[in-house]
Amino acid sequence: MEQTQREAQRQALAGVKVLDFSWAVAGPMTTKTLAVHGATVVKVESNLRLDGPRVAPPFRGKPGRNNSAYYTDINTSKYSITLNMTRPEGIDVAKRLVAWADIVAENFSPGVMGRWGLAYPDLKRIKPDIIMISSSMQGAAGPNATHPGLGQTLGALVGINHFTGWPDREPLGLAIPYTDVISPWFAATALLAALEHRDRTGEGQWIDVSQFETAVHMLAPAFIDYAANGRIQQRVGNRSPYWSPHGVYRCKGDSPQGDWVAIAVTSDEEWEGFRRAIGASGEGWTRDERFETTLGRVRHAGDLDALVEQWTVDLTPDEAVERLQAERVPSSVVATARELHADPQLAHIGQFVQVDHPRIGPHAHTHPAFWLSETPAAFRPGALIGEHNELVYKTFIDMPDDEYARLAEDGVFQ
Amino acid sequence: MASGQTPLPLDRYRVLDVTTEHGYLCGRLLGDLGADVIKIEPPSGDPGRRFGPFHGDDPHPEKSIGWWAYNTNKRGITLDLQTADGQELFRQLTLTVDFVVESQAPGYLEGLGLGYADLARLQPSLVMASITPYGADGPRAGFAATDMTIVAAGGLMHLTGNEDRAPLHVALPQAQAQAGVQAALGALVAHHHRRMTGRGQHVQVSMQSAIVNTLIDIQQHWDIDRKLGERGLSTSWGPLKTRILYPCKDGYVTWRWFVDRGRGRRNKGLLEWMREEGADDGVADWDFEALTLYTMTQDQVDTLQAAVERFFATKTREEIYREARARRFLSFPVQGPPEVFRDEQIQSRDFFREVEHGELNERIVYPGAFVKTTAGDYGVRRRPPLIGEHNEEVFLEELGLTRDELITLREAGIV
Repeated sequence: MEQTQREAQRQALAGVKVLDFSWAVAGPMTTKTLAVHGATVVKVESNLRLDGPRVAPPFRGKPGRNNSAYYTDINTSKYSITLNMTRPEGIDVAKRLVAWADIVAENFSPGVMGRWGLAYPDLKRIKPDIIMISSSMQGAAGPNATHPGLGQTLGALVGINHFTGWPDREPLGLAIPYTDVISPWFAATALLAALEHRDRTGEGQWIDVSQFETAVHMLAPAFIDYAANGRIQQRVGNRSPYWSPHGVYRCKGDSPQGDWVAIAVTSDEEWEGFRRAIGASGEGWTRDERFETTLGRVRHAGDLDALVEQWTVDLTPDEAVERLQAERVPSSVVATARELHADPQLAHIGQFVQVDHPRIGPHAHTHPAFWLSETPAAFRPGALIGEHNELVYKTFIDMPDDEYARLAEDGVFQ
Repeated sequence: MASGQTPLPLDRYRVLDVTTEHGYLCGRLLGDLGADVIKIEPPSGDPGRRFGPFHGDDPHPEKSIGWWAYNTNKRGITLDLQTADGQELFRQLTLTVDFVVESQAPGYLEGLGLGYADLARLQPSLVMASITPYGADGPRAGFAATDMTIVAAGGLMHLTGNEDRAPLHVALPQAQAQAGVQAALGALVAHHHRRMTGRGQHVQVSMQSAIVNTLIDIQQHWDIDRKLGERGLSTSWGPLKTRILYPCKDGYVTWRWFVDRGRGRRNKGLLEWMREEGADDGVADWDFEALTLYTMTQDQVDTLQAAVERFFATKTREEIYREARARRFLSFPVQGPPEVFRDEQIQSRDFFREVEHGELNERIVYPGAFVKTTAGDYGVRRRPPLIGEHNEEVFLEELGLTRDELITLREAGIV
């Protein structure tokens, strides 16, 4: 503990105190970034209503509440306390924790914090310069604010589905809860700005994150195009309106859903490189005059794609990429999680951090996409549920021993 | 447009932005938060201005919508960094700024004597963020890349698409926008440390890593269980195959069923609606709270999904979303740009904002603030700069060059 506290002192966000009511994915990913950079993040949980990822696979061993690797990754380096918010004494303790915190984070449905007497105006009465962040599907206010949803399905509303798919097939969208995983980076950015604002003005604030709105920023050009030009951009498979060949091509291999290489030829120079990369097997067709110019290649993209695949299908993705990169042609293996864990570049930058968890053992945690040269991120195992009750209640908020014992006995820390 | 009253949190800081399309959003977010962001372009204009779509379909570098989208709230100057004068002016500018953000190829700025080590010698408290496709060094750092190849390398593509076809990308770039947000966040984490200690540092951002960071539990499933995710209309959920996308009368909607105590009741709203219309095939009577992923059979899943599919086929997106909201079941319509602009939630929050483009005599609509906050308005205050629009302001008024000197630099093609 002393060792980790000393480490935390050297970290960028040492001294920042976060009371974290957040659960599921979007909220916990926001506070994970703060926690691995040294903030003291106290996650409020309850054995009466478990955070979904605590009981979501993958588990090491028999499924339980303390051995989900999914949970530990997105809750690394945080402290866990249990608190029964259905009890008035629980809410009273929560208010004492608010007085301790710089930041209160939550991503319940709009209205839940208010029912506990913990809406922003309430928090402000307890601590005038508190920073509160509320993250929700569609924002804290508005006619559809309380409509329930999931990151996996919300993408439809935003346009993620509309823009992802083959022109002759369904608007598939992405296989992950995209709005859940991109909103945290915006949210944490707003939190750091709020800390600066508070230090300068003495004022706290309430930050209202709408996953819908943050996701619109990821598709911004298409919305501006529609508003300015009236054009409704469509899903296009992997085609580019400007470049060809531009796509994903089948390779040799035995993966259950195929082995693939992504190739993007974006200039005449790269087309020359492509010709050299495929060498003798492209003699003939790569000299086809239809493919001499950018316009010709784009016009005949369908024919070109079929010919490119005739070359890739006899190579593994790695072999294809090796030849293409030797000629500076943008290309990549279409990686699965297996390739990511074997990726020498990701290993080089430290993408997966091995953390030894008391129940799971050493396993891989995902480093954020930025690395700081002087104050590197540090990862501690995701806490067992309620692991830090004594530390937080007795030390962080100075609860007397007898009161702690009484509340524990009385089920307030369930 | 801007609230004009509340000071913005970064309004005392200045940023030099030397990003390509791989990093525009980083500077824009710092600008949204109030920083004075100076975008440096080559004298011929940023190469990213060549990308469409264009305003009025006029392929003019001042009308690239792709460029506009992520370059609001910035000023713009031109500078040829390949020349000795350009490099010297860059160093002088560095002395006036708090942040440098860049997404040049690995080693490019170092080669010009403008890498982090060089700039930090001039300005020890500098926070510099560098965005690269794969990282500053390492075995694949030099790989040629586009947004699509990076999304492929980051593991998102293999999971996306129909099972009988190739993996898919989104029709719009994603890795670059994500890396831009992560770079802004990393720069502000470093900046917080600087506020506390006075010390700057270098923030390295990998676009491939930004994609890896979207995968949540996917890497864990391989790490722990050696299981890979799958792509397709139906995918595995525990031992069952499930789908979330359904065709309806005029498009598509999403919906997902639930089981388990507590969560199983989320199906109720839809199934009761179906029963009222005589279309539930008996599934409304099932006790979803008593089922689990491990006691429900695939036959049951197929029966349920088939009933819902038949029912949705008789309804429009609007009808389904209206009932979903009234009956609180978890469905959203698949919307494209026109529907998003009409969406009553987006409208009620006044999200899209018009910004004056004086040069076009027109107001252009942009997405609004990335978050709402009681402390100010992070929306667009300033349209994207024209090429070299702020050369005089920055070089004459702020760096103190004489007009003759600026003319000399212009004639030499440096600005």
